[in-house]
Order: sequence, then C-alpha cells, then structure tokens
Amino acid sequence: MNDPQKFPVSIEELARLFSQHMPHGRDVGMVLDDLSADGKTRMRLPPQPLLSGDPGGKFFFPGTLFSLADSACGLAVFRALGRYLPIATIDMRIDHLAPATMDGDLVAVAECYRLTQPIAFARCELLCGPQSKVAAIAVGTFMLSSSSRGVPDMTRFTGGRQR
Amino acid sequence: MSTTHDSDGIDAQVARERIAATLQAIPYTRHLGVRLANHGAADGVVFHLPFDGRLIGNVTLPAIHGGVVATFMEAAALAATYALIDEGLPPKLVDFSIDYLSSAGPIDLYAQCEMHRVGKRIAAVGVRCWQRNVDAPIALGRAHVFVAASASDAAVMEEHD
Repeated sequence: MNDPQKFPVSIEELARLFSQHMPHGRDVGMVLDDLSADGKTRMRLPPQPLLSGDPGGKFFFPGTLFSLADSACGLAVFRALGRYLPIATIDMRIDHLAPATMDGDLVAVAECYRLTQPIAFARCELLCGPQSKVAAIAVGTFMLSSSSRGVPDMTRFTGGRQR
Repeated sequence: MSTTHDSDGIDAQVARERIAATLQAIPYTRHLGVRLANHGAADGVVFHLPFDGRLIGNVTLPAIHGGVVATFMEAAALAATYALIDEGLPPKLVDFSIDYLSSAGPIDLYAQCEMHRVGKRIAAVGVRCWQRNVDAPIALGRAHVFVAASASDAAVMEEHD
C-alpha cells in the first residue's frame, strides 16, 4: 500500500484533500494547517455569526468545537498511521472549561498519543481568542478498519467547490 | 430565580413551544436545521434533523459527520433542559460524551432525551439518536448542562466574556 505506484498521493496531501472536500468542514469553514514541528495536527475554524450559540454572537456553539475536535483527532490518527486506512470514531468526550469566545479563530491542537491494532487514541485542546485560552479538551478513541480498501477514489473529493 | 424542575409540572405544549423557541434562538442549530418532530407527543419530545448534503463528513461511505451527530444531540440536551426552567438563560454545556454505535447514513436523524437528574445547578441528560429504527440507536450521549449558575459559577464564566 506504500508502493508509490499504488499510492501516488502523500499522506499530507490526502489529509489536505480530505479536509478541503469534506462537505461539513466546507460548510462551516474548517481549515487544516500544515503538520507542525511538534507533530501535532492543527485545524482552525474562523468565527462567523452562523456558528454562534447565543443570539448575541459572542460564543461558538459547543457542537462546533466537537466537530472541529473530531475532525482534527481523525486527521491526527491518519497522520500517525502514515497511510490511508478507513477509521471510525468509537467514542469522544469533550469538557468545556470556558465559553469559546468568537474574538478570533477557534484552534484545535490534536495528537494521536497511542496507536495500536485496531484502536487509536487521540486527544485535542481547543483554543480561543487572542490569548489562546483553553476553551475545551476532547478525548476520543478510533477504530482502524480491518479491511484494506485501498486509496479512495479522489475524483469523489475533487468535485466540490474549493475554499 | 423561580425555576420548575419537574417536567410533569409543565404543559407538554408549553414545553414544545419553549424548545422550538430555543432552537430558533441559537444561530448554529438554526443553520443546521434542528427542529422538533411532529410525532412523539405520547412518549416525550422527539428532535429531528433533516438530511442535507452539507452535513456529510465521509464522502466514500457516505456518512453524516460525527460532529454533526454530536451537535444535534447536544442541542437536544440543551433545549430539553432549558424547556424545564423559567428563565431564558444562554445554553451552557459542562461536558458531553458520545458513543458511536454505527455510522450515520445520508438520511434524517432523530433524537430523544432522558432527564436523568435535574438538580439546582446542573442537569444530567441522556440522549439517544437513531435514523430508520427507533430501537437501533446509532449513537448514545450523556451531557451535563448548567441549570443555574451560582454567584461563584457566574464569576468563573464572566472571566471569559
């Protein structure tokens, strides 16, 4: 599967394609940052009124943090694997330490801290505001697919609107 | 603050109206399209999220994004809790935990809440989410929701305003 003939796209490129063409991510405006030097996966969600949880538009709705954490953790597992393998979230928990203010991008910093067969463990901090305050912490487990279905058909990802 | 924590003390129609008002007041639940199902009056309120292509998280399966399922269940827990209290507080979630039992196919989602305990300060709420078959949930969730912030809680929350 790591044969370059069969696997023409790098895992970084694949992660980028996934994040760019995932309909829900595109709908809310999620952005995947390049793999950082500390090995962590960073995703951002710029504020916009429709993402707020209060009529005044001061705070992100809790679910937007969950979606960003789930996506970032999934891509962190993906990068830890270093190859394409379908994964499924088994469970995830999020603790809201403080309301997530909309005075800057919401940033998810995720890492896969343990990779076994067939379970991967990932965790994520969600930071908000100019001071990068920790708004929430999420922890999740992921099941790695037993069936090696190979690289997905990229044409299914390239039809969508580029952001 | 005068609150009613006894769900039997609230008229079912009043509860439905309050839930609908909460879902309308939150920009993100309005954006996703979370609403009340028309049925379910006999055994409690049923929440409904009609399928839309933009909710997809996995294009190959295809499946609704796990975060959308979680958001829908969180919204249900928050709205169900706020229907029980008199004052229009902004929804505050302490924590949320979800077990995914199967992937969510590209069809409508439904959810129902069970108020495990509604205390003076927080409520413990269970949420089940299903698609075609009410007896085969695709996800189970558990939430703690702030019911009433005490003076000290308020100070902690205000810090971030």
